[in-house]
Amino acid sequence: MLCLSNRFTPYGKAHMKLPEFFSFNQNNLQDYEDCEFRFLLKHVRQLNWPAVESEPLLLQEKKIEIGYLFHQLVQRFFSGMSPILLTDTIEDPILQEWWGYFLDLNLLEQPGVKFAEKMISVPFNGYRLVAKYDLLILLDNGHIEIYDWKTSISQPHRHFLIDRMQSHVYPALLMLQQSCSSFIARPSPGDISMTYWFPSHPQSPVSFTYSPDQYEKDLQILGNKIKEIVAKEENEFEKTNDVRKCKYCHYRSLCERGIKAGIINEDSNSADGDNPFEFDFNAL
Amino acid sequence: MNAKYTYSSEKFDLTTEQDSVINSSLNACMLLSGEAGTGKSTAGAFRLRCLIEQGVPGDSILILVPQRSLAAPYFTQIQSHDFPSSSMPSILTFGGLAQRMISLFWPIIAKNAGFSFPNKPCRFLTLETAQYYLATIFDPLLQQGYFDSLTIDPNRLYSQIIDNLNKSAVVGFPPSEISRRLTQAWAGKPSQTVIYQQGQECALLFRDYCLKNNLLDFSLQLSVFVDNLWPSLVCKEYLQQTYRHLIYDNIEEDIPVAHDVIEEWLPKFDSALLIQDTGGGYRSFLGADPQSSQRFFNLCSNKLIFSNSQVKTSELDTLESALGESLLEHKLINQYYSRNSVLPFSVLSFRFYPEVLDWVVREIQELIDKELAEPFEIAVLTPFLSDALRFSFSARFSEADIPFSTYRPSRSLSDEPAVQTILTLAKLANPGWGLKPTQQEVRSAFLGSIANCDLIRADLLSRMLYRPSDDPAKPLKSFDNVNHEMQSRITFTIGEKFESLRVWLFENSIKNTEFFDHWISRLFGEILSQPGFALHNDFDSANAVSRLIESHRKFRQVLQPTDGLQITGSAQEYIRVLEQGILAAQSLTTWNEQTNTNAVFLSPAFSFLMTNRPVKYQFWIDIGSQGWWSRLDQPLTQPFVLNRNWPDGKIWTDFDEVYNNQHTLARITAGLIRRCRSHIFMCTLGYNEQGMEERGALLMAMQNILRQVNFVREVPHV
Ligand code: SF4
Repeated sequence: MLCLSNRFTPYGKAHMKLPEFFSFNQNNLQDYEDCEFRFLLKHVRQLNWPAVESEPLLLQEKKIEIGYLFHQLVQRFFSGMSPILLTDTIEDPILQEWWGYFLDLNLLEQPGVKFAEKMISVPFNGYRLVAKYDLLILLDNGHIEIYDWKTSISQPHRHFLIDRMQSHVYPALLMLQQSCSSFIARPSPGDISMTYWFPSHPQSPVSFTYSPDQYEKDLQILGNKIKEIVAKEENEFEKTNDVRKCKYCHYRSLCERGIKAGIINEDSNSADGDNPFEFDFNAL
Repeated sequence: MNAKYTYSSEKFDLTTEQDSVINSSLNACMLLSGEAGTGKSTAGAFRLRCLIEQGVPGDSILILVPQRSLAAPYFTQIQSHDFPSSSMPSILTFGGLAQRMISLFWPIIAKNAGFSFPNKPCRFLTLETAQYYLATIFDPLLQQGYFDSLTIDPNRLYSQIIDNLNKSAVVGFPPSEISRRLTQAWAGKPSQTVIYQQGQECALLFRDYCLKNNLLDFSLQLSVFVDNLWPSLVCKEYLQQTYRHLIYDNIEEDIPVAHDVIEEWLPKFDSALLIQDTGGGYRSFLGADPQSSQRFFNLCSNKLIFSNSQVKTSELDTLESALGESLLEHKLINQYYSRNSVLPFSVLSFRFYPEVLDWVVREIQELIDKELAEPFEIAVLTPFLSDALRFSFSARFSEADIPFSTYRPSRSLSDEPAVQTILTLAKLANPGWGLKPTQQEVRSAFLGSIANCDLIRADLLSRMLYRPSDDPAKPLKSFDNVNHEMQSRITFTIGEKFESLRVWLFENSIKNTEFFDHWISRLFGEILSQPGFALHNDFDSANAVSRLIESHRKFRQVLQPTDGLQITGSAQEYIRVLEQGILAAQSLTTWNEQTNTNAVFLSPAFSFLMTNRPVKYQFWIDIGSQGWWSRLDQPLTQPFVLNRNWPDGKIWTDFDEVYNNQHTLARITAGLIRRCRSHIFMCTLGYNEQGMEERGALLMAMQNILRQVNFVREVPHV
């Protein structure tokens, strides 16, 4: 469907209307967190703006490809394909290394029922909240382990990871899904733990255990965030004050926030640019 | 899980018939049939909800539809804010299921399926990239004199060869049989059989090329899934364990090989609901086979029929019967109308196209203002929707401030002004390619690059500063070379932007290590979308540039190392094939984002039927057009012969052609009427878009009806 509205200003005065079939997820909520205006452009207006997000582009593309291939390998693995057969299909030496580290985790041997690439959608405050889990392991004792594969080269600090919307959405949504009779498990918050696992840093996963307190907080954070978003007029979506974010945002020219894309420094330990949350492999 | 679940029909305003489907047991195997508009898909969508509320995991439910647009009721249901928590059901077409399974199980099946490099990844071809590879195989054969008896654009030949391969895959016969089947049905000059033979040769060469290079076009995806994956234990077990419940909507619009797989799979599902639109089959030319779907009558234990339309009025029902009879019998045998009949249609005559467009827009304005119709309750339908017609309507709708949307394949990339601008700028930045743009192209590129640069200024700039013969390495001269008087005439603001553009192009020729799509992204972000440049606030153009980038990315991703094209070479090759129209970019824009936006819907009739969305008012444009009746001229293919129902060896005669056209038209008009709630405005034209007089079958059929109406109205009361 092509809507022939031609040119329109991004600063519409109309009340913001979410697109049909819209769901909130960690990705769009994080965008809102980073920059309200980006949320408006990307998720409400769904505006294609084909400028460079970050440089060097070739490296970025390589990162996306290898991340995609890693997720695909893991999905094939949990679909029952032999690891030897899968290993034979890998050409890239980095991917080969990552795959080796992944196999060392020995996840298949670990107890519990495993669900790979599980997508769950729940009604939440009059809207829908969705998450796609790379891996869920359900143990007999009611414990649930959430695994998320992060294929960035650098590994951000723990507090950066814990602060991300994903760390709020994923465990909370596992609690929220219990309301339906087709629930996958009925954990209490203390039964849930989450691990960000970096194949490029296999020895230093970042894990945390959920808690009733955090669940209450998350419900508030998510509820308030959604309430705030849907109550806004279009012209109330503000551009971020943190102009460093604009260096790695493809709407830079539209917002008049610079010309050239920011360069990712491979050696840098900063999360800017080489952002493990940057690519939503679930959307691929 | 056999407990009976009672759905609240009142809460959702459902009929008792719908209730009985929704609340069927969790192991029911049902076939639900009925006309369009009887509420079948609504029942299907609530059945989905009911399954989940009864504890069925969402991701164990497969919702299969022949075309993504037909899945709208299911998406709407799943996304509604009160839909229960659940893992997500899969909503797929058969082709989508095939591609997903190949992606997952590629390492297991690649070797058996005959691919040369089973350890390397496969690449899925788009229609564009398939055409590209076909062209590379085809061009040497054209030089050898293949198809020399045909005067037809080679791009149309490519698409028909691909179409033949697709038909072989959807019907389920080997591509080596294409020519035999077409030849056996051919009744014309024997020279045509050579063309069929040559077409098949190209198809087989293309298939061979794909197998040797791990490429999968749509036809090969289907064949690999049906012949290799589905029969394999690992895939079958995976699918049968993953999906325990099936909802299969519009089975009559799906392809026979999909029916074959589902027939075999059906007994393994815990529950199944198959939905059939009686009178459907609009996608026949794409391989849909309503006859093949009839098999499910014997395979489903429960058969339900919905017979009450929730859409059309009794007057529209009468029109459907009368028009069907008039089309098929060329006259009205039965008496449909009496003196007091209320007509749910009007037929209006105009001499020329602009008159009809003006009238339609005025009438729609009145419906909105006086009848308080919502724009989304109105559809304007044509047999085909040309760019010119779309443009004429869009100008009038915009002027009248009527929101509208249209559904058609997106414009060919090479026709997009923003794309033309970028291609010209790429040639200017890379004089070494030897692709020298014309002065007119350069003028258009300035017009499309610099904000507020009108045609006169763009013309001045191109005449004065585009000098490829002076120094081929620097085809653009500096604005400083222009005398002061001329500079102020062009304006210094425009001059400054011209300079930024010129310097950027000079400093940014495409490097050997750079992909063309990356270069375009930089050009767009660093120059064209910056303040003072033309794309700064032009979102339609930004969208066209995105499509260009995406198209090139897909193109170079499937380019083989053996193709001998370096990174930069791929840019030149891409531009060559794009400008030749081989990459026609017939990608359908995703349809679902704005289906329910409050806009008048302008569309070819077929596309409207495939949205399966009733409206209150329909406008049928130019009912005298032969386009409502005749099928496309396709010398290399024949969709009704490359079909399971066509008897082996039977000849396709003129009678078959007429019979087929008649029945197709009757089916389409019935489908339209069933999707109308109130009134159809039919417009006839003295002269069509090309200035010709046409009196097609639809017009003649409507005249029979009008004669009966007029007759009963003229007969005096007794
Ligand atoms: S460029 Fe900056 S202000 Fe604009 S959307 Fe991106 S982050 Fe927000």
